[in-house]
This record gives sequence, structure tokens and C-alpha cells, in this order.
Amino acid sequence: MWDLFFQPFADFGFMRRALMGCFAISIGATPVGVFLMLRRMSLTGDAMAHAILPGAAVGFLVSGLSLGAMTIGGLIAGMAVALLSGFVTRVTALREDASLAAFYLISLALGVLIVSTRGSNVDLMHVLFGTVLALDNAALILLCSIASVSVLTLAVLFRPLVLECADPQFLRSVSGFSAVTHFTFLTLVVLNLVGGFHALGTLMAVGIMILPAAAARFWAVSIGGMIAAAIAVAMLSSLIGLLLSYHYSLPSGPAIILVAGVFYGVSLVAGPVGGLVARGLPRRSLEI
Amino acid sequence: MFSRRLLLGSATALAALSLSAPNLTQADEPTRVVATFSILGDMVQRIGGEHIALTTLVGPNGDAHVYQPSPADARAVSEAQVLIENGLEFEGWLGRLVEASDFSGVRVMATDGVEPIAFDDGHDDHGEDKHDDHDDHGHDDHAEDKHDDHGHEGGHGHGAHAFEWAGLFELEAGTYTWSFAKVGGDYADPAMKMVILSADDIEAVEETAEDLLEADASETKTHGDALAAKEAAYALTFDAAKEVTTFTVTIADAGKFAFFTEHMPFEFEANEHFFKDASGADVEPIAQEPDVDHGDHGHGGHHGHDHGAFDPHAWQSLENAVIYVDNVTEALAKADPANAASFYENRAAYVAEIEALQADVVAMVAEIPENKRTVVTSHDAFGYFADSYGLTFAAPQGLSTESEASAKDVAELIKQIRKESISAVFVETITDNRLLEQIANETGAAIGGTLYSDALSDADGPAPTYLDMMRHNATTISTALGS
Amino acid sequence: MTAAVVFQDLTLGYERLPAVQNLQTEIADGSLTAIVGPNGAGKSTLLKGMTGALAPLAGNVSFEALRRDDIAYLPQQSDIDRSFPLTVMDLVAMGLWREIGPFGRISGRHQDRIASAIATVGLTGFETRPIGSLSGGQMQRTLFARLLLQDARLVLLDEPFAAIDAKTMDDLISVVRRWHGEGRTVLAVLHDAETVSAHFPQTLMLARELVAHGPTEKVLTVENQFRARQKCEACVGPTHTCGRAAA
Repeated sequence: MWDLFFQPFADFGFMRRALMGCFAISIGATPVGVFLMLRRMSLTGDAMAHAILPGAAVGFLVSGLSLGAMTIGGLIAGMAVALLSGFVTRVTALREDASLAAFYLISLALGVLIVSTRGSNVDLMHVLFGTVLALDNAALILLCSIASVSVLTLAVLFRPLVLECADPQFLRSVSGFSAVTHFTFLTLVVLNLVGGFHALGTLMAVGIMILPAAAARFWAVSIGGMIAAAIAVAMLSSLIGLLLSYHYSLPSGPAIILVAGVFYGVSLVAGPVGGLVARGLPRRSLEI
Repeated sequence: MFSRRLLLGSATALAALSLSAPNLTQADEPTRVVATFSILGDMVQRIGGEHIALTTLVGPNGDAHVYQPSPADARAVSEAQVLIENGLEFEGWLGRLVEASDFSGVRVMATDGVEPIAFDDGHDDHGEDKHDDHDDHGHDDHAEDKHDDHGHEGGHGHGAHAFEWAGLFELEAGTYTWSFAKVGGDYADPAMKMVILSADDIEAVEETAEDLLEADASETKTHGDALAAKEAAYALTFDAAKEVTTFTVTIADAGKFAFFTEHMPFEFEANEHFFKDASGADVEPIAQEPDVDHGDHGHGGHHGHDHGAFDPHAWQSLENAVIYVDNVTEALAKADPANAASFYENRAAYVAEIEALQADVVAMVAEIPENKRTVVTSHDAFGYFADSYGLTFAAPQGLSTESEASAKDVAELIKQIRKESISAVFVETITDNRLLEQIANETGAAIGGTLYSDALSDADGPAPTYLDMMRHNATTISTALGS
Repeated sequence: MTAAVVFQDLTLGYERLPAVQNLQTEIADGSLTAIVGPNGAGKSTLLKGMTGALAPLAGNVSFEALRRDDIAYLPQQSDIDRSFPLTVMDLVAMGLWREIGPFGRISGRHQDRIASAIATVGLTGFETRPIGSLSGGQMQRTLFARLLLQDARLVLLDEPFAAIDAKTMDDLISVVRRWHGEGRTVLAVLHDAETVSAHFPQTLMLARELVAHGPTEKVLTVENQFRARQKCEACVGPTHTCGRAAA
């Protein structure tokens, strides 16, 4: 028991750091993921993750494996794509998904182009696929800061955000908060993805954002419940993923995301709220 | 050793001169030469001097493992008269590039004649538990005096066995398919001997197999032929016109069978497993010799298919560099006999520098205390360096720069560093060094500096030429370990 | 009698195609007005123009002494995400936005008002039901409860009684009458002439331009309806959206 669960963390500092980094991401990113899911914008997260690439690439090319440069580059690129696609949607007939797709594809191509102009792209590959095992103090502080900012902003923005998700028309009719809410929320998405890619890489960062949220949908009815369930799933996935990586020599990032994927699969089948088994039971059981 | 090759090379050059082959260059026009990566490019330039127009595909600080050819590269290759590659499957992309660019010149493998180190031989940094299995099989002298002194596990040199690989399979009666595929555009060898014997373990029939393989008598088999377990050696001839040559293995009665081959079967693996049953399912050996841990060893399973069975970083030994230089000189002299004399002059000067540096490096290593000769780098590319100079290299990641390290790999390495009190960890040009910094922090080992493995630095860096690189690496290591 | 809303030569439309043209009239403060007209007459467009969601192409809408959050608007097809995890209580409580804003606390007094609004629309006992489990009628009651809490001086309703059962409609009409009794100005787009005659003292008939506006019995005449149909058929645009007369 001790050897299985605790000894790796007791013996190795990098395991503790990895776990701490993952927990920070779990706390910061998964509530954002819950809102992304509730707004039916799950794939937007994926698009934004790609959009971050050229910014991170430029940051890397300018000052190497610098946490700050890549974070700022990623933030700028992500926000630029979010704002531009929002702007295009508001002034033309193109829907947001289409304009977002257009911009992130441009962004992605630009990223690959920038990377290719330099002979060496392996360092960048490592950055893009992340190294949760190599979190240094600066990276940990960044992850924890992002998680704190994210949680605080969500707490402040909770009500408008719920409204913006559930009944945007109503929010627009009662206040001018709609646009502010929308873009603050997109900022949070970008911020968490940028934080996540230091640990898990851009693509896997979306995984820890969306998969626990999707799983939580099958466990809770209320938003609060979903957020709590999502954070729990994300933390458990991080823990189990890291342990699997430790005991079975699997790459850590994918291991964590796959565990989250397993949680999603189990929730899909066995979740009490609309899971396949619950659906199969007589309707009476749904009338709480 | 060097002089023999030199004589050979000179003789060839003279022969070429007197023949004056029709595809020779005009004397005043430089020969168009393409070298695949920066280290090779530097050597070629040293030999060719002003008489060649050199294009290097993967430049300084570039990584040849993940290189993507550009159209300009393809054009350079198509116009080249000589294409010089490292070989040993270092440039996996080269076959496609050569095909795509209609290259019609001479392709030269710089490692031709190098004694290659098999992967997981000599520098498997984790699996100390595997030492004992091998030691009683006898090494050649080279392996004997180098490896055992420094705590390596078995290096299976070519001299010890008539076979390079043996695998024990438990098979049902029926037919199986053994396939040999071209890797990087060519078979690893055009032909190979194989022996199939019914046996409970490899050692029981090892001698029989060796006798059969060493005997002159053999049955020649070609694509599609059937093989069976019997006391005879098959001479398998691979069909150059096909991408894959297959043989049917017919098993009359279920049981255990030992297969002995002259080459590693993995050298002939392109995309598919080499041995399959009638339904197409992979058949894995229950035991093999050497125990290469093919595929699913604790490195995230990337050894088998990303590379061939051998470590391609042969230039990391200065002795091998002389072989490189000889191959290059010979090729250039053939392509441009008019300037052959100049190439051989350049060669002589260059080899003198290499040998001087070799002596320096040996002296530097000699000063390092015996118990401090283990080095940790992020890129497992120093197998030849380790062998040549009696150092041990350990790495958190496997040989490929493309795969991610697992927590287990990192934990094992940290344990190893703690146990063997390794004092220095090296950051290297390629690969994420944040991981190393973490390991260094955790173990208290110093970060020793940057080692160059696969590419030169640019002109301002510490390793703009091959010799600079080797000197820089040796100095960096001896400084860190000696301190 | 003062005017709550004044339309001055108002032209509204999408993509420069006018849906309401040159509307010039006033809505009296405290009036209960039905907006009627054939399909495609621009009724919903007019309401959107009043909420500010649609900017006028020409002319303007002016509100006497009304601020933006004095206006409550119930769209015909609300884009509420019914699968969103909200309870009846959560949704109704949104009506307090004007008072508590994005960050304010919901006090005990607010709780009482929420409970009373839910009771007024007859949903007591449904407070914790997720909105996804409500019927169409129950949903409409919930939205009316939210309107109640908005405590708006001007209430804009777009087809509030479409596709709901008779009992719900009766209950909701009594809510509308209550607002009228409290002196609020109510404008409702309706298509059922009987409902209009029975409950709405004022009627504004629209067919892209104003047909008639005044007491219901004077506006809702056969001649006016005929004129409205003709105007709508003559107007630009695909005929099938204008051809069918209603109201």
C-alpha cells in the first residue's frame, strides 16, 4: 500500500512537484472546462490550444526555454485569436465556430512555419508536449498563480458567467456585462491552457480541462457539484496517471489524460445523472 | 590499422585515375557533394577543400532525428554527384529523399567499416539486473577489456558468435511467415544465413548452430520458399526488387524451436513484426540472445522501430572518425580523380589532427578517478565515446529525442545517481534540459555543461567543427568529473 | 396622460432591409397594449428595437424617464439552454439582477420575494426542479416569475401565450393584468384576436408600417385587418412570409 501509493512521492521530489503542478492545473483549469462544456464550447478549448502555438514558438525562438517569454507569447497569440474571431463574428455573418476555426488554423500554420525556420525543433516539441516531470520552482509558481487567478476570477464572475451560459439574451437585456464576461472567460481559457502546456503540453492541457468536466456532468446536477466533481476527477487522474507512469514506465502526460479518459468512460456508463445505466432504469428513478 | 585503409584507398584512387571513368567532373568545376548533417559536413569539407561544392542538409544545432527535407534540399540531392550519409539508420528520412529527388550520383556510407554497437549493449543505464545473463557467453577481446572494467553489461561484438541473434519460440504445428523488409531503402544485408533447430533452450543447440553457420554448405532460399527445423543452414537471399522478402516457416510438430540468424531480425523490420503466424498475429520469442528487450523495455518502447538495432552515433569515437575520413576521401577521390592527390594530402593532415586529439582525450580521461567515470546526459548518444574512452553514460531518456520520459525512467536514474554517487549531469544541445536540471537539483549532482552529440554548434559556439566538438566534450566531461 | 414610449419616424430592419417603416406613434404610460399584425409585419422586430438589441436604420425610439434596466423583455423563443444545470429557483432569481448586480448577495428579503414570485405563477413546490425537466407551460411560468422580480416599468412580451395550455394562459394573463393594475406599461405581441379583445384595452396594428393604433375595439376591425393584409402583400420580400393574414 505504502510502496504503491506513497513511496514514489516520499522518495522523489520530482514526483511531488509533478503532483503539485497537476493539482494546481486541476483546480484552475477544470472549472473553466466545466463552463466550456456547459457553453457547448468544448472544442473551442482545443482550437485555442492550437492557437497558442505560434506565440509560444515565437517566445521560444526569442529567448529559448524561458517560462516567461513562452507564457507571454502564448497568451498574446491565444487572446489575439479569441478577440479576432469574436470581432469577425460580431461584424460579419460568419459564425463564431467558423471564424475561430479559420483563425486557429492560420495560427497553427504560422506556428509550424515559425518553428520550421529554425533548424532545431526538438526543444520546442518537448515544450509542446510538456514535461510534467521537469517542473521547476518558477513553473510551479506560475501554475499556482494561474490557478489562483482563475479560481478568484471565476468566483467573482460566477453569476454573470452562469447567465452568459444559460441565457445570454437575458444578460444582454439587463446589463452590458455580456461582452466583458465573454472575453474575461476566454482570457481564463487561454491563461489555463498556457499554464497547462508547461506541464502537459498544449494538446494534453485541453484534456485535463475538458475530460474531467465531461465526466462530472454524469455525477452532479448543480454547477457547484459539477465543478467539485470535475476537480476531484482531475486530481485523481493526476495522481493515478503519475503512479502509472512511475510503476509501469509510461509517459506521464498521456497517462494522466488517459486516466481522465477512463474516468469519463466509467461516468458515461455508470454516472447516476444521465449515465447509460441510469437511463436504462425505469423513468421513476429520475423523478427525484 | 589506419595505414592499411589508406593504402587501400590510394590503390582505389589510382585505379580510378587510370580508368578515367566517363562520369567524372571537369577538373575546374567543383564536385557537388551533399552531406547529411553538420558533423559529416565538416569532415567532408576538410577533405574536399576548394575542390568540392558542399551542401549540408541538417545544419548546426539541427536534429537529424526529426529533420524534414525542404524542396531546396531535394534539389541539392538531385544535383549531387556524391551523397555522404552516416548510415546505421541515422538518417531514416534519406531513402525517401533520394527516391523523391532522382539522385543519380554515388551514395557513400561514412560508417562503412565501423564496428557498430548494438542498442542496449554497453550503455543500458537502468538494467543492471541483466549483467549476469551475458557474461558467460564470451566477448571478443575488445569488449572484454573495455566493458568489464567499467561495469557495463555485455557488449556482443561480432567476433564471439557465428550468429548475431538467437530466438527461442514456442510454436504450434502450422505455417509461419518470417519477413525481411528494406529499411531506409535497402536491406541491411543482401543475404543472411539462418538455422532453425528444435530445442528446449538456446544454449543446448548453440554449438550445433554455430557449426552449421560456419560450415560452407548451405541451402539457398529465395522469396516465398519454405523453411523447416532441421540441421542445415539456410542462405536466405533477399529480393532487391521487393520491399519485403518473406519465407514460410513450416512447423510439423508443436514444440520449442531455436532460430539462429547472422543479423538481428530487427534490422530488417520496417513497419511490421518480423515473425507472424498464419493469421498474421505477431509471434514473439520466449527467450532471445542477446536479450535485447526489443520494444517494451522501460524507455517507453521506442527502441525497436525508431532506429535500427545499432547506435548510429559512431562519430563520437575519434577512432571511428578516421574510418569516416577514409570513406569520404575514397569517395571524393573516385568522383574527382584529378584532385585525388589533394584529397589525400588533406586526409593526412586531418588524420594527424584526429590522432593528436585522440591522444589528448585518452590522457584527459586517464586523470579521472576510476570510480567517477559515470556521466549522465539527456541524450543517449555517447555509446561510442563511452566504449572508446572507458566511461559510462546514463540518460533519463532513450536514444531517440522524440519520446517523452516516464516517471519510472526518471526515478530509476535518480536512484542510480544516488547509489553510484554520480557527480555530474550534463546538459546537451538537443533535448529538454529542464528535466536534467530537476534531476540535478534532486540529487545534488552538478550540471556539468553542454555536450554536443548530433550536431555542431554555430560558428560562435564552442563546437563549430568536429574536432572542436570532440575536444569540447572531452574537456567538459573531464573537468566536471575530475573536480 | 404621459407617453412611456415615443416612436419617431422609426425604421428598423436587418441587413438594411426594413422590417418596420416610418413608425410614428406613442405608447401611453401605464397602458396595456397588444401588438398585432400579419406574419412578417415586423412585430418582433419592433420589440427588439425597443430593447436596444437592434439599432434603428432611421428615426428613433425614446423612453420618457425610463432607463434601460426599467425594461423587461421576454423573447418569443428564448435561447435558454434547457440542458443547463439550473433550478427553477436559480432561473427566477436572475430577475433580481437589477438590484443585486453581478456580485451582490441574495438576502432573506430577496428570498421571500423569489418565493412569492414563484407562488404567483403557481410553481410553489417546483423550486429545486432542474429547468430541463419542466414542461413548456411550466417553463413559461418560470420566466414570468423572473419578469415579476425584474420589477420593470415597461414589460415587453413576444407571443407569451404561444404553445401553452389554457390553464397556464389564464394564470399568466392574470399576472399581466396585475402588472397593468400596478401601473406598469405592458406591450405584448399576440396573434389571437380573442385574447386581445378580452384582455388588452389598447392595440397597435402593424404591417411593416402603422395600420392603426388606439382602443382595441376601434383598431381590431375587419377593414383594418384587410388593409394590413394588403399592405403586407404589397411590401417587398417573399410573399409567402406576408401572405397569410392573422390577428
